[in-house]
Amino acid sequence: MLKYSVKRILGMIPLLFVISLIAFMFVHLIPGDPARLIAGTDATIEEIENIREKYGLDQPLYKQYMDYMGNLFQGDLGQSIVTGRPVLDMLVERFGPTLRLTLASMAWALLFGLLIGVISAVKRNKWPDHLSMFFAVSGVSIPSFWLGLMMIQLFSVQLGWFPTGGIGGIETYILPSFTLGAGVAAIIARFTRSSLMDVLKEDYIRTGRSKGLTEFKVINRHAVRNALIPVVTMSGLQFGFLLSGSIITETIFSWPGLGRLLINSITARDYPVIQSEILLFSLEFLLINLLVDLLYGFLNPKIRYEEGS
Amino acid sequence: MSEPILSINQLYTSFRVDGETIPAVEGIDLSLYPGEIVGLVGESGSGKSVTSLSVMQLLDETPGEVTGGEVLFQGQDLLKFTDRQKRKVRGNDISMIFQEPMTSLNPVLKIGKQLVEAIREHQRISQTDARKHAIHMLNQVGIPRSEAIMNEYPHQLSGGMRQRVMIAMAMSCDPKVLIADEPTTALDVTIQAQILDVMRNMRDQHNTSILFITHDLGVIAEMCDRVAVMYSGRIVEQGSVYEIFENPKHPYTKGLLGSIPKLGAKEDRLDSIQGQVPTVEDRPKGCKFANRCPFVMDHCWEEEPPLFDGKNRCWLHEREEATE
Ligand SMILES: Nc1ncnc2c1ncn2[C@@H]1O[C@H](COP(=O)(O)OP(=O)(O)O)[C@@H](O)[C@H]1O
Ligand SMILES: [Mg+2]
Repeated sequence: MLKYSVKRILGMIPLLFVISLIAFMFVHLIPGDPARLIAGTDATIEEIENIREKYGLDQPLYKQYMDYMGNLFQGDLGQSIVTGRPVLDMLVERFGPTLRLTLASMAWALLFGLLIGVISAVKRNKWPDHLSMFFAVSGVSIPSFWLGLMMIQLFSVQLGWFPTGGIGGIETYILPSFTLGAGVAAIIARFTRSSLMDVLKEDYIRTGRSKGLTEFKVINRHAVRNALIPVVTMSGLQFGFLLSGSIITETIFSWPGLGRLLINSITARDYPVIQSEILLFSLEFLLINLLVDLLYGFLNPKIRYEEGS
Repeated sequence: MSEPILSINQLYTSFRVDGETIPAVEGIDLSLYPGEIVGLVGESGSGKSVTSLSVMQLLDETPGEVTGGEVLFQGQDLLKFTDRQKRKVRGNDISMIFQEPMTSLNPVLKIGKQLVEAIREHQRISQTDARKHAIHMLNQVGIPRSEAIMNEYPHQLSGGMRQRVMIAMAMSCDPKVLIADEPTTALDVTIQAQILDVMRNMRDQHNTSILFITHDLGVIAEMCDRVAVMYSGRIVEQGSVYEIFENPKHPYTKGLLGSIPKLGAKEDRLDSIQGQVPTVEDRPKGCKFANRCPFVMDHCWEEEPPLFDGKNRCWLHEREEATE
């Protein structure tokens, strides 16, 4: 397992380079002159020249990349064009709220998703299954902006239980995390259901029953763990999406996270910030992928042993 | 002879598929006496697995249902048991091993855990004692390094080893009856012989009755005391291994025997049976074998023969009886 982990981590290094290259190229891939883009439409020639010099855009491309990488290694992601603050500081500031919102949302999503998925697989085609799948389909198809606004309307405006937005104590997390988690819960529920239904057809389930185990033990000891193996991968992917910050949910609830930063910097054409967010999101996905793979190996002894040795 | 340990009387099992009822087993009678190995043989699709799952009452997960008859275990009808009583029988009084050793063990649990679970489900013993007993069972089925294997996962073992584990698990509560559904079909010939050996040993040591299901008459000859030949959900012929092999009466049995390659086989034996097992809808009205039988007579198409003398379901045999 250790060997496998080390192998996986080393395998990430070339990928990191590719990602840094893509993030670097981002500014250069946008059609047109990057200096002109940064300076804005009504900038003078002089202003554009200043910017070209300031951002090193007059240098040859390879030199620019070397500088970019050099700065990257020193933790320097450049400055925001809009605020002039170091991008790294801005990302660090925004990462916390998004991470905490993501964790809260995933907690809902896993709790409800797994519970609903298991119940509906076990009671398939009976009323608990139909009811669960009704919720799951609703969860997937209801747009999060609508769900968010409805929740604000009901729980904040009418009942006054929770604030309408902003970050603070635990009460500020309830509505946004539920809004964000509902869709993921629905996806996890449907995935768990189909995975568990497949597992319940396996021969070793019949073996469990032939030993005289109760249905509860058969499901709990033999089915669920096997059914979870694919669910882990899918949940990890969802986690990665949430960790990039949800633009819609963060905007509705005035949440100071990465999603809102992204939409703001896109609106303001704050390229250094956009560039660094791309880098951060890729890095997040890479790390989550690693975690998922390690968890996958933990759940699936076949992978743990064969690829580990 | 003593009382049968297991007796299946007029068992009917059917499946509901898309609102239609498909009869898979139609009126099976079969008895198993203590310490006896009875073979249940027939081509694929004849209803052997359905019969065994009906005895184990493991049809719930398929849309299958026993619709008639009784399955008496030590005189009590298993079909009338509550769920709780059924679970007490499964794995304890009657246990089962399956065709696919590769997929019959849970891939994410260690062998030891799966064995201990089977033991502790039915016996009030400590974890440590259960482990000891599990290792003892692994030794009995001839697994080397039994202690190490307790901590291994199924994928680390070969098919033959896994089937030994399955036998150890099935025998761990010392059942009165072991049902083996094609236990060696998925294994190659040398391994097959070893597994048959293990099962015979088990019978000798524990006096377990074995219902041995196979489509291979060669294996029957090696293993069994008695044989029942199944076709289209019914038993068409039964008798001692000697009777069936030396003097098969039913054309289907003759056909099956003909399909075993044998040196110096008699000329009049069939090489193999023509055609295929008919699907439920295509089953002939009279004798279910009529459409493939080389000796078919007009009468065979109209009326299904009974099991004459409790042994043979063929109109030819009735004529023989009359002329004798
Ligand atoms: N799960 C099922 N659903 C519907 N029909 C089934 C199912 N299992 C078995 N059958 C029917 O029962 C018949 C006998 O099957 P089976 O007992 O598995 O045969 P065997 O074990 O002798 O090869 C098959 O031909 C099929 O029509
Ligand atoms: Mg079968």
